[in-house]
Formats: sequence, structure tokens, C-alpha cells
Amino acid sequence: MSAAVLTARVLFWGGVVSIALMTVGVLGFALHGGLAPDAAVFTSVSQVVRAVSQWPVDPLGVAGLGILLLMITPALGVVTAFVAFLAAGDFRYAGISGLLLIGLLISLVFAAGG
Amino acid sequence: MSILFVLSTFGAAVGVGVIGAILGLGGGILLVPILTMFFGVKLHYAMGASIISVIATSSGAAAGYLRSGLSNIKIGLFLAMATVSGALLGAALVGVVPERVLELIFGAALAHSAFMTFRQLGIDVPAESEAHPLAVRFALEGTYHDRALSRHVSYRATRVKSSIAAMFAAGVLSGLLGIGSGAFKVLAMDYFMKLPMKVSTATSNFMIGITAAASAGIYFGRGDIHPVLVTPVAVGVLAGAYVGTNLLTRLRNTTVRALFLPVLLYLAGSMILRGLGVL
Repeated sequence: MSAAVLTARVLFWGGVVSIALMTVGVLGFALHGGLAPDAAVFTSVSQVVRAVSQWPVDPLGVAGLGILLLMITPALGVVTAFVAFLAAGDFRYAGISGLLLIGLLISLVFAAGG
Repeated sequence: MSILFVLSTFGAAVGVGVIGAILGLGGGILLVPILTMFFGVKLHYAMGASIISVIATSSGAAAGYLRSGLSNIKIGLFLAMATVSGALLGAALVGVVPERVLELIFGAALAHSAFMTFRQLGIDVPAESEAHPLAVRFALEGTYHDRALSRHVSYRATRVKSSIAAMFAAGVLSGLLGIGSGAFKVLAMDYFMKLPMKVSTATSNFMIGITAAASAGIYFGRGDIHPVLVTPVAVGVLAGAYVGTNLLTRLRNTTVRALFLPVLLYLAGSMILRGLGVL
């Protein structure tokens, strides 16, 4: 299977699963207490993890999980392209995908520090 | 937030997704004003929703375009490398470079591009030109089946160095000013690389997700991504992107370029006005 088709699958399923999680989470939240405008806004991954690891699960935490998954979906696409090019022996494009991933990682470090 | 609010934002997001998928833009230039002006959403939440909508449009549209061959993964990755490096430099230059001067320069560049796009309005498939050594070396070429023309169209990138420079500059701009660069990506591929317009917008769709992902963490960390607002927007945009992808395969390159022109004019005008301190 080509790098393009594999990457397409990862992007598609990443989008679908994250949207499903976000929808279930927000619907669950609305059924519990309506769409309060002062609903919690997450600012860190650990807050989302805490919200979904408690019982009963915080529905907004499920939505937060979907948001995080959607945010990393493009990077997962680049990882897939990297692996697919490497497997196909196209080292030039495996290198380009690898450099792109390093660039994304540096941006994340910037984001974490900023 | 009422059910009516959720349904209306969903409806607006569907429209943004359709346009974004066809024109290779994240939709931020449409979504932010719609959410703030018509729905009274605070600017920072609107910007958070916009960055998520860019990723949703990109994931939805790029998946379809990569499968159909309209989006070129190699050209996308090759150019994304230049944009991400530019964005890193741009982020490091915040506060060092006079932003207004840059806005004026880029505004003028966009106005010039709008003029060139206007002159090329009638061109459907660019004429085949001499192969650029870098395009051959990096296989910056492809073929897709054009349903509007009912034939296969082959293309190969030209002026590769200029397009790398344009993408790097677009990255600096988005890192420095925090604005999306979908329009610049389309321009670099359409104007410099001379790719068919549909390939340019489809490949831009793949790339905007990558560059948005690089800055989405900042918005999340600042608490700008409101789950209850972002969810109907993301679902709507994804649905719209699905419709848009199917539409683009049927549209002619000339139609896509004609739709792109007003976006360029709007961007050029708003950037020049920001540079002059009017906006």
C-alpha cells in the first residue's frame, strides 16, 4: 500500500474517532446539566486524563480526549508517511518526513515553554 | 449556550468546511469573523475553534484527496518542511521584527499575486514546462484523473527554489503574526510550481493540518479551546469538508481559481490596512 493511501487512512480514522469522542462527550455533558457557558476548559493533558480516569467519567473529559486526538492526527499522518517511505526504501522522503516530525516536536517544546 | 446556538454554529461550520476543502484554506479567515460578529463568541475562543477547524478540514479533506491522487503527498511534505522551519523562525522573531512593515510587504505581495491570478483566470491546465532539476530529484510530479475534463492530467513542478522561499516566508509570517497560511501555500504551488489549481488546493489541505498542529498546543495550553463550542464547529467542518472534496473533483481548475481570487483580494486588503494601522 502506498504512503499516500496509508496516510489517508490514518487521517480519516483520526478525524472520525476524535469527532465521535467529542460528540459523545458534549452530548453526555448536555444531558447532565445543559450547555452551561461556563463549562470547564482544559489547559493541560493531565487535566483531561484525570477527567476520564475518574468514576463516573466526566463527559467533557471524553470530549477533551477527542480534541487532543484531533490535534495530534496530522502528526500521526506524518509518522505514518515516515514509516511507509522507510518500508518502501524511499529514504529521501523518509528523511523529509523525519525532519518535519523534528520540526513539529520543536514547536511543541516551544508551545510547552510559552 | 442554547441548542439553537449549537445548531447555528454547526450550520456555519458546514459552509466553512465546504469552502475550505475546495480552496485549500483552513477556514479561519471565515470562521473567526462569523463566530465573533454573528454569534458573539469571544475572540480567543473563536481563534481556538478556528485552529481546530483547520485540523478537522485538513483531516477530512486530505484523506479523500490523498486517496484520489489529487493531493500530492511528496510535494506536500517537501513544502511543509519549509513552512514549519519558517514558522519556527517566525516564532523566535516575535518582538524583534517590526510586524507592520512585514504586513505591508506581504500585503503588497498578495496584491501582486491577486493581479497575476486574475491574468491566469482562463488557464485550465498549465502548459508543460521544462523539468526543474530539483523537481526531478525529489519527484515533485504526479498524475490525476480530472473528472471535469474527463482525462488524466500530468504535471511537474517548476521554479522549485522560489516556491521553497515563498513557503518559508509564509511560515515566518504565520509564526510571527499567528495567521494561517493556506492562501500562501496555494499560491506557491499555483503561481511558482505551476501545478494545476485543484492539485494546489488539495495539497494545501494536507499541509494546513500539519502547520496548524504545530501551533494548536499553544491555543490548548492557553485555554482557548472550549469543548462545547469546538465540537459542533469540528463536526460541521468535517461534514462540510467531505462535501467539498466531492465537489472539487467535479469543478474546473478555472472555476477554483475564480473562487480563490476574492479571498486573495480580501487578504491583501486586510493585511495592507493592518500594516497602515487602519485595522
